[in-house]
Amino acid sequence: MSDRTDPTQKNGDAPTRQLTGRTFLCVVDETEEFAAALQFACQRAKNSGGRVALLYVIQPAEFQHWMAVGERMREEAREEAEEMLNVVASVVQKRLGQMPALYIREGALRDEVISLIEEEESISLLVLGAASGTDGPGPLVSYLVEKMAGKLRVPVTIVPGSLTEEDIALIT
Amino acid sequence: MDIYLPIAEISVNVFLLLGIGGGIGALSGIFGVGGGFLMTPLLIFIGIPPGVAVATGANQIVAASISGVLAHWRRGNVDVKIGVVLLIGGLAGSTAGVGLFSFLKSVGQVDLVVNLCYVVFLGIIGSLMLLESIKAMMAQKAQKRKKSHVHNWTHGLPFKMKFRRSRLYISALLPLAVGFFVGLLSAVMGVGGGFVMVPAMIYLLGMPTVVVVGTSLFQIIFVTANVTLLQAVSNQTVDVVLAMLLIVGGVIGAQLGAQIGAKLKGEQLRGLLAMMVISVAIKLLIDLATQPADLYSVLPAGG
Repeated sequence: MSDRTDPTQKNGDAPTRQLTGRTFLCVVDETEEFAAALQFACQRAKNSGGRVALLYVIQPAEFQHWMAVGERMREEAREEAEEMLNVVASVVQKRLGQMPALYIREGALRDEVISLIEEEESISLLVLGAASGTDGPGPLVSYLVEKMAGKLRVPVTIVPGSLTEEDIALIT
Repeated sequence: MDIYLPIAEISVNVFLLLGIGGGIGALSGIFGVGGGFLMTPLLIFIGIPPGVAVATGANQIVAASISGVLAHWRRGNVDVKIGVVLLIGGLAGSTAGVGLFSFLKSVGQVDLVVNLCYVVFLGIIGSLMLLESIKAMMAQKAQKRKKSHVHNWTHGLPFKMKFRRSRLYISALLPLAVGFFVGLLSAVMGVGGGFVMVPAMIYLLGMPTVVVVGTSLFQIIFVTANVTLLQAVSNQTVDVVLAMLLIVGGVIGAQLGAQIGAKLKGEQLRGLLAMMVISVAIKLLIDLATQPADLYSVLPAGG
């Protein structure tokens, strides 16, 4: 999709203790259900000695007449993505005592999620949050479940957004 | 199959008009632009009087902008507050512009002024775009990112306002002035003005780029609607038949264009657009400079 698909890995290569090598991938966005998915992933990782990986997908900007404007758009989108990942990463650090692996990609959300899973062998589970509202579970969940679930390299765990923190703590 | 355009007062082939509408629609689909600044000159080329071309072109942009703004609105990428300030400036500017248009019409100079405006603007824009492309080809990423908030004289202006979505605290006079200028352009040239407003919003106002496109479209809808309405009422230069034919062609063309655009790279698109803009400017300039075949036009007596 883009020339910037190289994964940006920060602090991800320095495991602090003996790990099972299990990595839980969360797709970062601004939704409420993401918080549930993140909590689930962190606790599962903690209990099983695994790690958490975070992916943020930047939507490619539409065409701009002025190249300078287009460039600036990409830069700002990138900065925003980094800022957001840093915030989420510090939450993971607090909960898990370990920095997550961070990935930033640019392109269509569903394609990038799938291609990252294909490329990164260390990822062993995809954790997604499902929206509890009436509009369905969210585009990524519906797409993966309906079209792709049988073809993925890893299992998918779907965490209902309606679960409270206590609920999740009990399950994990 | 010719059709008589009641306001433009000429007969034109229906399929030619549908083709132009389709072609411009395709372009706006490919380039993601309203297409006003190519539509109006093309209409002039086929013999539509510039006055009519400008006024009719404006309502085409209303439709294109509404479909464009919806996507941005859903993503929350419209700063309504600064958009309204821009809009107030835009309404004032476009009203003044239509007034200017009426005045030019009364002294019989409107066609010349519209043509000249186009030559100047398209010339500048085309050259700048071409320069950008050449620069990009010569040196990949030569300059470093400049600071986004440079304090300059604009920060000394009064009437400061907070714009939360854009994280700005600037004088309301700035967006008012930008809006006014774009409104003026819109009325005199029949364009949305996005190609001027977007850089102005980023570099002059310092808005974050995420909200720029959505907010400019938001402003353009109302300003071009105002232009169409005022042009129709005060100058009687909106041709409904022409507008309908262009819209029909435009809707079909836009669908096609969006598919083609997705396959082309940004640099290629930009180069193509620059060349198109420059060639239109040159054609207009040639038409202005050469001596017409009939030196005198015949008007009905007393008209």
